[in-house]
Amino acid sequence: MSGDTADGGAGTLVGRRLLVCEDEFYVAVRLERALLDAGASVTLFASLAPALAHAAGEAMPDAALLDINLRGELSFPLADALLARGVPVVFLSGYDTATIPPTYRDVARLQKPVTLVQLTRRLGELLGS
Amino acid sequence: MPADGSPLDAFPASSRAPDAALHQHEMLAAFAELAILSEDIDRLLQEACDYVRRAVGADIVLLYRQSADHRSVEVRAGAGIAPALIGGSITRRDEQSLESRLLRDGEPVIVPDARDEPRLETRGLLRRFDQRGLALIPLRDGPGTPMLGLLHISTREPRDFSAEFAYLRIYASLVAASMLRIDALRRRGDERAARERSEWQLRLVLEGIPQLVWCAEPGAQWRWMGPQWTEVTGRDPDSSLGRGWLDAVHPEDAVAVEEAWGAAEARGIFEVECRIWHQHDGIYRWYQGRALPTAFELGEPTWVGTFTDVEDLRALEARQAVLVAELQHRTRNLLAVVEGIALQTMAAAASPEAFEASFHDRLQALARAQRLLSAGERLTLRHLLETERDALGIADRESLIVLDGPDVLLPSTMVQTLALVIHELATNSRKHGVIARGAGRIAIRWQVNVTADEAMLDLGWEETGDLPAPASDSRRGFGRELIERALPFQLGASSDYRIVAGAVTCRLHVPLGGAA
Repeated sequence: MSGDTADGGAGTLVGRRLLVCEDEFYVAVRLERALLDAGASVTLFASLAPALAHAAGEAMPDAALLDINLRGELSFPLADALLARGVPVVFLSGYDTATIPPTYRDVARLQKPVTLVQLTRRLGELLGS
Repeated sequence: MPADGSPLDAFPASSRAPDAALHQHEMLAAFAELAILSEDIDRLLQEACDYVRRAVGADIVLLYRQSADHRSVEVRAGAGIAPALIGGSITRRDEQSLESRLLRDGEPVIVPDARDEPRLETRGLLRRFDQRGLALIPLRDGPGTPMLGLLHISTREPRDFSAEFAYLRIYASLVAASMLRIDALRRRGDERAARERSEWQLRLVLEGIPQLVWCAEPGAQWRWMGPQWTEVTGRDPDSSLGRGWLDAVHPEDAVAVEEAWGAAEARGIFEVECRIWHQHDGIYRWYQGRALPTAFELGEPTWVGTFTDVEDLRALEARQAVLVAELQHRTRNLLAVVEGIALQTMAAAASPEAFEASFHDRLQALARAQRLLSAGERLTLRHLLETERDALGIADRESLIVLDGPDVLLPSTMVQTLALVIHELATNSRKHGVIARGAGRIAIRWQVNVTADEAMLDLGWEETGDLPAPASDSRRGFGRELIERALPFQLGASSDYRIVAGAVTCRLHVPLGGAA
């Protein structure tokens, strides 16, 4: 739990709207907690279909954090939809990152277990804050 | 004792008449023809005995063949004796006997009366057959050639064979030459049979092994292929020769094959994995190709190679890679869950001791769920509930806790969360409820309701007894967090969890299809 301190990334994501897809409850809760602490607002999804519906809607997030495997479904279609609309994406994977197809070689990625400082810093970089 | 149809039938037995010399010459000519043409050694030797016996008017004619170690002679054919004697063998004992000298030095023996000649080793035998006149002629093809044996001619009456010696020597030479010729013929036949057998075995291996076997000249030029190539790929041999076989290689692998050939000479081995088209089945299958340079001709090697089907092996490797990736995924998620449980337990714990006890119990529940998951068999809800009930380790658990519902197969995604939920409800009961008091009743009932869209599992925990109302606690407990937030999030379930005086009820409504 190194780096999981309250001021790990406090304030760096103030006012940002983030879409988070993670099917493991305890992981999702931690991500949500950390991002809320950093000042962001978070929309959380555990499966692909509702997240896809959300991504096609009008309220576009500023960035998205996507677990690659969502209850056996791969989140690549969601990444495609978001990237097509200019939303920066960070992949979060329990797999070796080698299993990510080469078409996503330019997409940011973090490998589980990820420290919350790493996470907020990476999102901050992507959003230019 | 001529064989049936023998040319000898044309010659009546000699009467030593004035035209005897002419008669003898005619017989010799006939025998010579027979000797030159014959390929049957036993028949020829027998004919020789019969001819000689008639030609010179002898009583007994024998052909002895010397053994390979020169220690004994074997009767190979005979005329004027019982056929049973043929095949018998005589071991020489006296190196100075006339017979020994004959076999050693090629010196013929002419004895007018055997009774007067003590140096004859076969004297006893001659006496037994009542023979006195004797001639022994060496069997050889000429001076300097191996001594094959001897020709024995004898008569009941004393007789000097000196006059017929030259004549008998021609017979002996003809027999010896024919023996050598027929031996050589048989040896050649044996060699051919051995060669054919060895070729047959070689072909059996070459055509029987499950690999596709081939030979190539440098530049991937096939000049021979085993029948497996045609059987497996369905391509005819002629169009596969030269570089024709490359048409069967998958276009995407053509570069790899060419590169492997290009590197083969320097590496001393051709080695590649490529897909080969199966014309019969209309599919490509993966093969491992290997060849080594052998049999250099004018400095150019012939490459002897095989293609081995590795399709199943590659599929297995791919499955294993998926399994390893899945294992990584599960392991990392499990660590995240453990971390989450630790954080949540810590947030709800009143003291480090309380944390330790609760955390330990929850890890045990998690471990039980992992055991159920890794058992590999299809897991039913009842099995999961029984596992949790047994883990309580209380004697009267079956009277306190009643399970009632149909067999429901649990999707693996549900097992961990559901096991933790049951564990939390049981833990609460062990602290404050029916299990703590050893009185009252917990009824766990479930059923599956199938609608047009999906199957829903309705699971109820009804705990009734003399239970106090819960103390109000501002902190949201671990169990309540799990039931009211994790379940809906993770499994798309809805839940209703109430604790009042006298009753704890928890009703879960979990989609079975959607969560799988």
